[in-house]
Amino acid sequence: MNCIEITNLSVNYDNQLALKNVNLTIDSGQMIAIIGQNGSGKSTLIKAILGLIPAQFEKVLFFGQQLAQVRSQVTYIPQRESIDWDFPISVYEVVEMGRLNPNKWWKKTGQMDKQLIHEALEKVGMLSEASKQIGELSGGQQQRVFLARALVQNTSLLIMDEPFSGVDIRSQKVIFDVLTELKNAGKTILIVHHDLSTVAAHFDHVIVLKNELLAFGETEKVFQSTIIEKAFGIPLNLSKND
Amino acid sequence: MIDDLSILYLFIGISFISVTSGVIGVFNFLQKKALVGDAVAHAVLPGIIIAYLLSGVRVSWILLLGAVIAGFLTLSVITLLLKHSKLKQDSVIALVMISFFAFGLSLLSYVQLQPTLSQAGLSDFLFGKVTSLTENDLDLFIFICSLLLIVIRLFFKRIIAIVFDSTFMRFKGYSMVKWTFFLNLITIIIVAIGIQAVGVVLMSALLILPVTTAKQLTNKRFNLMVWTIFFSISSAIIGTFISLNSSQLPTGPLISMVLCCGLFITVSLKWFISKTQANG
Repeated sequence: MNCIEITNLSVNYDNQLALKNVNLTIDSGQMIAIIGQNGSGKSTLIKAILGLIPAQFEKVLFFGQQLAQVRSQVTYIPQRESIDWDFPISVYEVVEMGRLNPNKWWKKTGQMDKQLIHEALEKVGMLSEASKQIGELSGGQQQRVFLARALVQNTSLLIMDEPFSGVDIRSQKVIFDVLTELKNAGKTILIVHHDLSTVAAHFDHVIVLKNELLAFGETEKVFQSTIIEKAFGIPLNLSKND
Repeated sequence: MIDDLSILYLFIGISFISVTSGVIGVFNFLQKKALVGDAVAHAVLPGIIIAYLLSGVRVSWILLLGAVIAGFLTLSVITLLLKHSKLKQDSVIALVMISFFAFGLSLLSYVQLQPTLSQAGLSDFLFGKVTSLTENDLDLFIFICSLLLIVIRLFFKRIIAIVFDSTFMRFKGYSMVKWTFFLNLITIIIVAIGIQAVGVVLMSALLILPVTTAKQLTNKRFNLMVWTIFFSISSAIIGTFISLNSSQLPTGPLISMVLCCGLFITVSLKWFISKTQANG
């Protein structure tokens, strides 16, 4: 089934074209990287399809429906840079946010929610840190907590914006392991990614952006020097020797 | 006997106002909008006086209504200016606060000069005077504060979540327009009530100082609320006590000074402890 279907999506930022005529159809059960230079529209693309910034489009469908109808099947992990790390909120409380439901405002978090939060924290290896204030953690640990917040929503589609920036090797491995497990369970994972050295090893498909769709397809076909050079303007060494 | 009871009731009323301000101040503080409450407090002065001039009576709920309308007008003007002018947020807040407050002061001077109007004691709104509050005022204020506290308790986790990570909550389907309106509304209501006790000039102290002091002591959500409520109640009671026992001293400055002392002591203690720990 089509997980995401985008037809003729364009985004303008301050009268500048940030994205032009993007057409994409993404199948379920894949792990997909969105790559491109800074300012190539990577984050813009996901924010636009999630309705977080104004955009023009013919169609943006998730599982064949409007986002509003299938919101409970989609989760999103924003970039971490906008977070106030001094905020008085604990690891557990951050993950608990994932269980809040705007349509059930009267509902308190119950036993099942607690169970899910517990499991998610355990899966990302953060259970022992549950009562810590979020700012006490390292960047990688923080990202694992946000992944746990996504896990408790138990969605079919997971969209992440630069989840690996400022993340240590160990956390990166934990996150990739959890994501691979999700993919094997049939979930779709769409990631704005900046680290080209990990693309070939972890992603099935790649979307290459340069304010328009340069290429989209299976990693071995798309992730090639000619396309990457076109996207980044410089030749890149894609061999995995570093 | 009756006197003692009404004084007890006064303390209860002030504590309610102070705690509600402190709790709502937590949200303003965490949104880094500490000055917005100050702007609203100053800017509601003309609203109160116009409400009095139009109705001709000094009745709490009418003045309250005037204050709430002026409060919304203030925030709308701030939002409009931020959107359509190139001014920075702090300049916009200062500009709006000064113009509304200046207008309010002019109106106040006019009222003071009219022999028929000057009896209402509207100048109490500048610095606050708890003894001018009647039992009916206190009934109304305690009722509204209880209502606000119940609603906040109900939505507490959601409000904190929205302040912490609005992008995520917006994505989850929470309407930021509605929630911003809600947060503005509770700020305006508590300001409209609070100024009748502590005055427009120092209302922001009640909003901001308890949470600022509490934040020195803890970074946990629950503890932060407990400390905020503790500082709110204790300063309200001490400040009001001194105010009642001195014939002329207004309540607002006294409560604010108690809060400032609390903050000063907390910051000093924290500095001292970190210093001794570093040395030991």
